[in-house]
Amino acid sequence: MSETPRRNFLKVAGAAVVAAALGIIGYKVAKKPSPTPAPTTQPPSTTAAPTTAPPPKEKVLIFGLKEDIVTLDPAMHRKRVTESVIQQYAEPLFWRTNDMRVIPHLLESYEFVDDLTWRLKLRKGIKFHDGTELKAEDVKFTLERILDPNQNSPRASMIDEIDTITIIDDYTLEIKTKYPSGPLMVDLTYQEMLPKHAVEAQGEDFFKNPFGTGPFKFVEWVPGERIVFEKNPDYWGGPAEVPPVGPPKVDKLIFKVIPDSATRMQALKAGEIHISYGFTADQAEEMAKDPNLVVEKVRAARSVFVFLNTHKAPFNDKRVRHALNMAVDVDAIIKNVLKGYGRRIACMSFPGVLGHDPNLEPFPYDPDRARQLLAEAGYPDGFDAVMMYDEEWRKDQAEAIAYYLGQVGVNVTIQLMDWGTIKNEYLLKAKGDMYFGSWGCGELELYGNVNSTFAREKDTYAFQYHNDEVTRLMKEALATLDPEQRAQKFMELERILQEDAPAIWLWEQFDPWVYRKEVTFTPRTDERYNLVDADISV
Amino acid sequence: MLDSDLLRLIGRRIVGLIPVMFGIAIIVFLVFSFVPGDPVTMLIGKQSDVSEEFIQQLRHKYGLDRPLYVRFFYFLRQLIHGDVGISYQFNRPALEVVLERLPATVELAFFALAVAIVIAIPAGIFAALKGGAVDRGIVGLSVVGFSMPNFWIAMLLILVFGTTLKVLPISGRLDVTLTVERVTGFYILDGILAGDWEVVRSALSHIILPALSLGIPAAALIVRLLRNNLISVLGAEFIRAARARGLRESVVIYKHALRNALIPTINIVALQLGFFLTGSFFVETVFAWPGMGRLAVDAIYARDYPVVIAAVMISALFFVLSNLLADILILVTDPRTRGVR
Repeated sequence: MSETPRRNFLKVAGAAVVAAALGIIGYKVAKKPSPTPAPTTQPPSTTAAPTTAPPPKEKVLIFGLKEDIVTLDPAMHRKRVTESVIQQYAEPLFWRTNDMRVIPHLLESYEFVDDLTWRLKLRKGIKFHDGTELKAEDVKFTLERILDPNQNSPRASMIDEIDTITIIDDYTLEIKTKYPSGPLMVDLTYQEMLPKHAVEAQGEDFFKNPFGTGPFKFVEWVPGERIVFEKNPDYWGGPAEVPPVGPPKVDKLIFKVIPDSATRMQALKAGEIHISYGFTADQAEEMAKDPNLVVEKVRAARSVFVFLNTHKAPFNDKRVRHALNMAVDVDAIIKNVLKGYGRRIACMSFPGVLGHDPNLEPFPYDPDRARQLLAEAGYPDGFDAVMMYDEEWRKDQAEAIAYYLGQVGVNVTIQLMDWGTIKNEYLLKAKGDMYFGSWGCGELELYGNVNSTFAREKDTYAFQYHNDEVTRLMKEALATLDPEQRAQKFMELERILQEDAPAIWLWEQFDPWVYRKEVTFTPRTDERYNLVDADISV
Repeated sequence: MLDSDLLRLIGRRIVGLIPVMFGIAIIVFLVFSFVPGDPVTMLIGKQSDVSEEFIQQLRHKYGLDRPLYVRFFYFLRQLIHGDVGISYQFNRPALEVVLERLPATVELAFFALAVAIVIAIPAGIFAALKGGAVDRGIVGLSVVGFSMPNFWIAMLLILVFGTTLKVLPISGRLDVTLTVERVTGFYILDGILAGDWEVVRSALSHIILPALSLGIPAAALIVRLLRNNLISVLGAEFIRAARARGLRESVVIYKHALRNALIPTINIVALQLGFFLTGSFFVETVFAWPGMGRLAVDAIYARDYPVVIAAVMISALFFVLSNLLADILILVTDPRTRGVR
């Protein structure tokens, strides 16, 4: 009985698999850069040709994104990641420095003609990637395109206080607002300028291969996979207030989409990407042990809280709301659950926000006083409540809060739901008990995460919370153009809000940003990416 | 006649496909109409400047404020023209968004199937012929392989080959510094067409780990099946008769036994192909593989139902086609089935 055919078959198959594996392994090993610098091993050139030095190696920076962009059209999205990527090729009129001051960017200067009129002067000589110069008509076109009802731009509401835009000359415009608007300057940091002539000529096709005035030129977008940019060597350099001024330091900038945070972490370790964010505290701790990685704790410009339904017993009793605020040991949660990726706040604002009052003290952690207050309010044995939440990764935080509330007799059941349902079926209908969530304040002014949640005239997201004083102060503050005076109004507002306690005030969030050791990079606190100054050693 | 049998089978399946696709589109549309949450809220997210009036305006512009029966009518009218609507997230035709991601999924499914076959067929034959400890070992391994969820295998492979040994890439389809002109969308094929071996190598090295993650559990299933079938066939009368006629053992095994044992296996293999094409979401997520599965799940979260409908319809199409493929293969390999259908 011969077994040769079978053996041969297996041998051939096995050999093929091994050969294939080795081929690829060999390829990867060969591709790895050798640790010792190559020049020392290179044979000296016999023909004296000192001018033919090898060209410098191309610097490629790879940024790991947690989600793909949805469009390249600056007017047609409300996504932070999409916006941050678009900002590599197109620029706004105002911008924030790395320490979050708002400064004119494409503008040389601006002035208020009166409470309703802004006069903007563009810098001269800023060129789009096709060589044409940025003019006032481009600015007018870009902003009016967002406001055009036929465009259906989800960004229209950001700048809908704009009434008219008038071109004075090629470099000067006047914007008239419907009412005095302090936040307009901040809102203009989110609108990137497009070339009128090209968008008009090409229509929607322009956004298949868009260009702007930005530090990087768009090369390609492979959906779900990557967005590629190359250095714009003619970049105007950015404002002098933010050194260094000049073109980008890297030749190529590639955003690689890796949605799973565990994979993104491994990709950083393996060097497949150089910079990323969007990790859990546990992952950050693990990466901090890797000698090739730098982990930075960066403020996320986001407040975390539990809204309380003030229209419903027992939360309609302020004593109960104070008791709940005293029942939660926020510092212990920050230390043990968040591993330090958070900082206790007294209300909604945090240091750096216009209108933040550093002297406002948070509620003390005092479970005895909390029990006493609950008894005074008529709940000596506590009560049952449901706490909704929508951000799945915060489950352990929700459990920790429920634990502390349980300690004073409030039995909390936590329930994960989607934001649309929570908002439309509970918050706006003032139904339900509690909502544990977070709100970003990228605007870095108090209105950013207080207006729609607590202060606007109707449809506030904190279970339709309404307080005349809070609403009045917000309205006044938003119509105050002077930032100092606006800040005073905000501080007064927040003192009233904190004391009225329509929420359990918790912490401001910190996020880990991670990059490889060979990279020079400064993370920002507004989730935008300063990559014109980023560098990588090759 | 084989040809008329085949043609009739294919014709019947393709005609049957049309009501299936319509039915699926309608079911997904209706399910999404009753699921809480709406696309505009998800599109806007949590923004401070947005008033509820503005959200209602946008809902109106997208036609989402119309009564269900009106939307359903418009949806049907679109569907008849082969259009499932515009994606809310991407502001482009949903079908276009989904088809863009299709080559990645198909390429991965093809390689996963290759992995499954390359592992399973020799191992199944080996186990059935050797018996004893070898058989028990292979069967034991297959139990392990089948019990491990594919995303867990994926993480394991990433840790071993990606992070520790650093021999294989762990994310994406291609080294991001390489580009290839997308002719077919299958990077390996595109690389060959362009004659760019760097691209071919990079694409091959990127597909190994995801293909193993999908292919190993499938291989485990196929091994068991093939082994059992082969053992029962080897005990059959006609094998004894063949041996008694003095045929060489290799002829007995490969020509007589294996061919008979493979027939029921083919069905499962084809079904696995359908599974790879539709159920690779976890693996696609873990390896940042820009395929259709990941897109569909993201679209569900975003309530972007035109994209979900397009993806589900394409998945259904694949399931039907892979079943058809199984039937055709059986018709071709097994003469006894001819004329029966």
